[in-house]
Amino acid sequence: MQFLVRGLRIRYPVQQRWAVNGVDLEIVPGQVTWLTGALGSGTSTLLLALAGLIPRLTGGEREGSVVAADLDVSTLSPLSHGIGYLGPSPELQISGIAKTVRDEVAVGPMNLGRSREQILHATDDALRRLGIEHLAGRDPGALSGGETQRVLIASLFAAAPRALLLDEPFSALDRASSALVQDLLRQVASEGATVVIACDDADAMLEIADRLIVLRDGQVALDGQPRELLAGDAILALGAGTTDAATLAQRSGYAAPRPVTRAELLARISHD
Amino acid sequence: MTEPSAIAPLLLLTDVAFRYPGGPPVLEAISLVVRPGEAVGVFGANGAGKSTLLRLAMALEQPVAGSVTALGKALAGRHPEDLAPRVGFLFQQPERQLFASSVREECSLAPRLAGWEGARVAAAVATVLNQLGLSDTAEEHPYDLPLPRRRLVALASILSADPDLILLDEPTAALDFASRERVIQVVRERARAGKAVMAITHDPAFAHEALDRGLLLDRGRVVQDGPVRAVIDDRRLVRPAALAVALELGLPPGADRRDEVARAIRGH
Amino acid sequence: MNSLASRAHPFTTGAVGLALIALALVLETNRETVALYGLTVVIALGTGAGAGARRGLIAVIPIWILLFLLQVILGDAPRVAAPWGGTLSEPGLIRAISQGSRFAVIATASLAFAAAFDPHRFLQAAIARRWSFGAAFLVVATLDAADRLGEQARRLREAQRTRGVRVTGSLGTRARAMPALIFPLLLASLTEADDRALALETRGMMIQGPRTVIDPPRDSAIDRIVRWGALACVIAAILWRVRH
Repeated sequence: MQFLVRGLRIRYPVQQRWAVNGVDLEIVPGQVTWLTGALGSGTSTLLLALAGLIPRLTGGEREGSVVAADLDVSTLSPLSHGIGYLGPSPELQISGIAKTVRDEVAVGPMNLGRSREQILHATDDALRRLGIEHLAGRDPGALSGGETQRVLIASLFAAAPRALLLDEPFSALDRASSALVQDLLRQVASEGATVVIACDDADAMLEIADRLIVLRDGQVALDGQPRELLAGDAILALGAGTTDAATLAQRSGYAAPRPVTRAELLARISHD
Repeated sequence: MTEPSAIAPLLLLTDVAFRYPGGPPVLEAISLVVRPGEAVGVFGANGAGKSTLLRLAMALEQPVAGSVTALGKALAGRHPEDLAPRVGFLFQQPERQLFASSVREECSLAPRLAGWEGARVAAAVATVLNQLGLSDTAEEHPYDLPLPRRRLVALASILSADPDLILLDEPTAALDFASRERVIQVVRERARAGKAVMAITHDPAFAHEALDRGLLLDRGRVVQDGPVRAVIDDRRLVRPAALAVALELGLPPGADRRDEVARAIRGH
Repeated sequence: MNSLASRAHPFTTGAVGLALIALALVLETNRETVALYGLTVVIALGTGAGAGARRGLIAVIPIWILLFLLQVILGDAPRVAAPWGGTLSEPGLIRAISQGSRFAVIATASLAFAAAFDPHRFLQAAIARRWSFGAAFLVVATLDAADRLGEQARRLREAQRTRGVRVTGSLGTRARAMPALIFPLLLASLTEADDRALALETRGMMIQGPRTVIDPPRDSAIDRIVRWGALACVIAAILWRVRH
């Protein structure tokens, strides 16, 4: 599913400034697209717009268009459109109607009216792929932040969307769970889905992102190869962070292009 | 130089045990001393007793055995509101306790309740807002701010009355890069000023840059108590770049933070 | 809990509860209403909703005491001798028993139903019957939210105490604590309402069209018989009352 964004401008109700202020983008399937930017740069708003939720659910104004698979995204519920969206606060997205985690994961396909066999199969598959089978019988409202996040991601998987739009999906995950989800997302992208992730953690995203888009004040400021952009000065000037190693390299006086991983930094130091 | 043992501890646990009524033991035989100027990380798997340790220090729970002393006073039979403001506690999802109509007013609550007079309150609030980069949002309604800023407001509101013992539960959760840096700086500054900080965290960058000492809890007991970088490695947290380079260059604990490492690299 | 009440179809327990309440309003003589109360208690105990019977009793005792004072002690003539040496009102006694037993049936039936109500099974049953998903969802989600509200209030109380808010002591002290204990819940629910609406949309709650039930509650022949039987009893009682 390809996303075509043309002349997009978005303003929330009762606000003067445009949260998204003129964005033209083409986002293609089969790769992981990474969105980042300083606080307030518009990454969350752009994701909401891709999911078709603005202004239908949030109010405010939208100019321009967002089209996916030849349809204006805001005409349908995201799941009906094949779009799986995950917001940044896990605890608010638990449905409240599921007794167990298994039921919670089944909510998506249930709402889509899939057949019973399809739902059971998809649910089991999702629980297994996210490594949360041991949570299947638990109360979805009594989970830790990391467990909740994985349950929600599993629920998206179970609905088998063609596009995954995720806002800070690793925020509550520990290292092992983070690695698992990263692998999963890369795999899903390689299977042909469109994956767009808004994420602050450059080290995590470097492993899986094919394309990096950096926003500033609601506009696209940088768009290219993650590794290249993370090694440079421009991303720092925009107030968006870079990898831990590149940050240290910058503080140590290295000029761009800087080493981007620990290994590269160590190699560079011992080389000098 | 004063002998460390001669400085009165800010937190003292003596053979403390805790369990919920009818439940399994959560903490067992915990003896712990935290002194002024220490920044301590509390690590361990879920259920190992980390939150309980912090809650005992704030008199939110009472031990079933042993004693807890904070700021020289035994906590038996005391209440959290008695310990405020000299002990401060940052909960998880701290934005849920905000209720004032401006950031400034929110941060004024604790000092006002402590009986500080107006000018002192205003000065303290201005200082803490400045440290956390919130000065330009001082008159805004906290609920109008994005989540990372709201969390910084919550942190500011517990630091404004200048607690001597600062208890933090996941202080960098859901924070963006710039906000996390602010938290690191403010913790370092408080430790330098002679306060004690005890933080539960699974953020290796925060642990390495802001904390000195690491406690590892396993099934209710302290199994490790030493330099925080040993715990970071043991817990298989992602090793911060500064630590990786420090180990490579043979820099000792305490001289292995980003600024010192950067200097060392430049001189290399 | 594997009692009859929890195994029955959710609509059945509702039907029985409503029928009992309807009968409490329709039946006339004291013998009938007292017998109905006895029947209600037996049904509650027999179907595993005994906690409801107990709570019903606790709820209704203050009402009984009030009725006794108003109707029996202070009631109209003719008065008869009372066992403790005074007099009590005869018509008052009859009225008190009538009203008391009706209240008791309503309280017991309601509380027993509430104890046996499983919101998730109810929702599954509603979906299976193609009822309005929105309405059923609202019921379940509201109950869920109310559940979580208690926990949120408790955590908030703790947090504000650590900031120095005094929650014990004089009435004045506790009143001053109210803003800190209540405003955050209100403000949070306002902001969260927006986020929740967004979340529900992304999870597909607003999708029109048939939904699949993975585990529909069994609607057995006995369930149907009981439901129709309950309705039949109510109709019969109404006809009986109208004819006499």
